[in-house]
Amino acid sequence: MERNNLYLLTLSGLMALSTVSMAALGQQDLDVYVSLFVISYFATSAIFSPRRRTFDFLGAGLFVVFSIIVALRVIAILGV
Amino acid sequence: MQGNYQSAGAILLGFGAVLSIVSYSLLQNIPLTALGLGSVIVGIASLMLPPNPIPSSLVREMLQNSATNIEAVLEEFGVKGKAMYLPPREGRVTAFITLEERPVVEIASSAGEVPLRVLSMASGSRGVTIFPPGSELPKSQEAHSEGSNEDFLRTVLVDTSELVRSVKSNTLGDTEVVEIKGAKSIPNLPRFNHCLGSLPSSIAASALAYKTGRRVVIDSEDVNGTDILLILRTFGQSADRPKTEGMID
Repeated sequence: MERNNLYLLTLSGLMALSTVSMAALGQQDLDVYVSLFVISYFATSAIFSPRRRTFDFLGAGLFVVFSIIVALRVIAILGV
Repeated sequence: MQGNYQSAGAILLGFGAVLSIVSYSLLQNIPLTALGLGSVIVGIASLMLPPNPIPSSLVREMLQNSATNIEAVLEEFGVKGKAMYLPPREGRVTAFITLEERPVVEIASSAGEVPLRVLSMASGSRGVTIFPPGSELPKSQEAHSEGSNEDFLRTVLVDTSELVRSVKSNTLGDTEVVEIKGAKSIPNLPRFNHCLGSLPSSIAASALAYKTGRRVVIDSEDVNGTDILLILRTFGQSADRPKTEGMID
């Protein structure tokens, strides 16, 4: 199978699995879902290294979102 | 699906955006919102893939056909020597192979400019100059030529041609030790394999000649199934991709 197809299938599979398993666990926090999506995206990209037409804007955007989520969690833990 | 990454991506993006907005604002259902966001991510990832990429199997077939043609030329001339990969001229790497068996290291270290014609002389030996398979591949990866040798070899052999599964490389002075794993195509071409090395090794040598701008010879090649341990040696000063006006006779 072509590597790009495998990349998309793996990414879709991991995201579907994350969503179904978190929904089954009754998770109602969107941050958790998004964090798992970000990890799935970077893991899949690292494994398959797909060729892209442009700079990885999606990766950059997801990284920023993930950083914000982590920062908010840290702030909540520190109670600032 | 191959030519439809963009349309599939656009559909997933649209569907995901609508699903996540409706689920979040109207249904207030977090798992469905997450499903929509997941669709958006997969859609954008799909949109970012290049449209209509040439199937890697087709690229491999073309490279194999090129190697088969070169095999025929080498047979016709009765070539027995080993290839010396020359720095790119007009953007393309060439390889000079002596007609007689002669230590290629001796030629590589002493030969002057090798004319760009089929039959030529270098360091007192008659030989043929050919364009090795994939001599254009490194040119198409010019943008990646600023990184390390390993990065460049990986870009050419793994990412572009998908000829091998992985490449590791280590530079030790003028020697490049290259470890190739999972070669998907090693054509059974005795003359080609003797003169130019196996197909992945030949492309690796071409890529290194392009990257370094120096002469490259295959010092040793150990093929073990689909794995290859390759030792390449570079000679001469780095050339700034000189242009010649030679014609192929």
